[in-house]
Amino acid sequence: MQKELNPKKYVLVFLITLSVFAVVFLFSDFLYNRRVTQVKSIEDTINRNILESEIQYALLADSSCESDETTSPVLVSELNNLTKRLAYMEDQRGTTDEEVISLKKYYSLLQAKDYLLLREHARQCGDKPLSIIYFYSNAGNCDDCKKMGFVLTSMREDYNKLHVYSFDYNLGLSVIDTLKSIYKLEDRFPVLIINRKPYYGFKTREEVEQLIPELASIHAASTTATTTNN
Amino acid sequence: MDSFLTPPIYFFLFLTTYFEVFLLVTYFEEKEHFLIPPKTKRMPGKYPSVTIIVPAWNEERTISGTILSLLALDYPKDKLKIFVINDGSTDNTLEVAREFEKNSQVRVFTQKNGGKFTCLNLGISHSTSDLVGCLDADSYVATDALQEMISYFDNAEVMAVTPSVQIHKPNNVIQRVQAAEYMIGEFTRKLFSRFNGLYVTPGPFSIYRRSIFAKIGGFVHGYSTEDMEMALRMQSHRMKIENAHTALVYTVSPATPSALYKQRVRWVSGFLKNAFFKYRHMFLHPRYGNLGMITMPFAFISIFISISFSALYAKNLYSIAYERYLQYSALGFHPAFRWLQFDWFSLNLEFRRLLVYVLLFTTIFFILMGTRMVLRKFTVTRDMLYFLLLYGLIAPFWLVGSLVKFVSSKEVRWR
Repeated sequence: MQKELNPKKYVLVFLITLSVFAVVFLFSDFLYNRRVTQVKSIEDTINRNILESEIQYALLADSSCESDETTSPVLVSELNNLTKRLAYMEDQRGTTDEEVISLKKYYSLLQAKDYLLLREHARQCGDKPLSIIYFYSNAGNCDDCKKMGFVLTSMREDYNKLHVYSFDYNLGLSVIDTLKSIYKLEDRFPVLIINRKPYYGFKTREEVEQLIPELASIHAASTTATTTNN
Repeated sequence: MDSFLTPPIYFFLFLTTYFEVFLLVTYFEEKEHFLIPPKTKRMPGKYPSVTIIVPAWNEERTISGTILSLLALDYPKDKLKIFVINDGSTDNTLEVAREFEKNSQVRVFTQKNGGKFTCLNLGISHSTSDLVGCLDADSYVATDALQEMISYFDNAEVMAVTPSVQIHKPNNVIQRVQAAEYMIGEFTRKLFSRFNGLYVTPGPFSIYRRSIFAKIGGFVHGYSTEDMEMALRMQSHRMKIENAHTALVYTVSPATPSALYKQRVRWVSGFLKNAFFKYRHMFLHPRYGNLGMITMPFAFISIFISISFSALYAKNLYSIAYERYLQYSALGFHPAFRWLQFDWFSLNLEFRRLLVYVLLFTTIFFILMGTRMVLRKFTVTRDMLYFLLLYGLIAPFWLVGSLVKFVSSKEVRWR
């Protein structure tokens, strides 16, 4: 039985508690840095893909239209992967975290670059680009933005040729400001740009699909391919 | 709002971690006291005489079981007396108790309703035994409980011994949450006893040396928590209280949220009133050892810590539920929507969250240690799951209720 007060024990417990805090802090910092490294690595991969595509266009010009998947400037799945990871980081570290903002700015630039290449590819090959530009806002409680995000994420997963570019309206990036002025955007959210036309407010998946009729043929094609494979 | 709350949350996390580390260090220092020792029979003639007082107010449904369990105790009949005190019951409690009077061990007293402490004092005034115990009329003792407890009185310094109180036949979720809580409670009670930090001698079957009542007086109202007041009074006189973790006592627990709320408000507001109105001098006073420096201050601040952590827990649950609602309202049950999609990247491993995981892990360790002490084996039960999921959501109700009662100093009744 511990009869009396033992100051040594109090100090020991204090030191152990401090150590627990220190170890947990270092571990959390290590994990965070690993996540940042992972995100940066995905961004590097995307950057390299874009560079490859740019060179490919310059070298081969129209002949690149013959192939299908490989000419896509960036693998959509890669971009989706990055989007998800940034969303998690934004959720956990907050929208005001400097590291998150910096990663998001770079990601936005990559998206803009990918969009330009996709448009260029479509122009050269006479295609219509399958893309949606989506502006959301983190300022205030934009529940419709969150709902729109769920719809677009589900569409990304279903249509592997659909490029969804999401931009934080208030990120303070000149490229985003330029896009805003090109499409003469109002401060209403969410807003989707489909075929160069802005659509304000939440849109259900069916409504978005109606705005891009080409998606039906992709879906039919993928369903046929799956059935044939089976 | 969150950044405004961050410094106090870290402060609370630090205090909670400090307290849990203190308990763990104590455990590793005193590990051998937590074992289940082999049973040894005492030599005949070496048994102290014991009187068990059973205060009863409208307990006609449970009192028979209580008395029968006392009569079944593995203890020499001539050394054990049972005093049933009818506290002005308006039901058939007295009649039921009187049926046991044909047994020479049982005596029944009756008085006008005066509260539990008056029943205990009446019993003490009629007792002549070495030890005096109390058993609430809705509790039952294991046959070896008294044997397990009296050995602690071999140490002349020990003035009171508390048992391991457990829930009697938990049936619904509310009772199962309490069952897990009581198991943790036993582990912590044992730890508190190792560093002289106990501040309650529970109504179900705490045993006292009769001589202490002559020195420090009998039971008082103690803001409807006479057992807590008695323990604090004993501690203020530096009297040692032990815990017999192998002495199992089962108590009927509240089965409805309102009954649980009422019971806990009585306990917590009773603690606050006793601690602040009568024993404030013990707070942070080195003279009262670990009780004054650790147990009492932490018992007080843990009320605010629990309310804050519960608020954060509820906020997180609300966020998850709201996000699910938004997902559903956006997509319905669309096949593309994967509810259970897992990605390690999505795990929140931020500093504060990791600290909460550490504390949660320690709590699970405490529950497991409690089950080992009570059930005699490490086991994972459904009760633990209910406890971990629900306790944080229900406890704030009575904690806030108790603070309101304390601040407004409204009296709360025994029943």
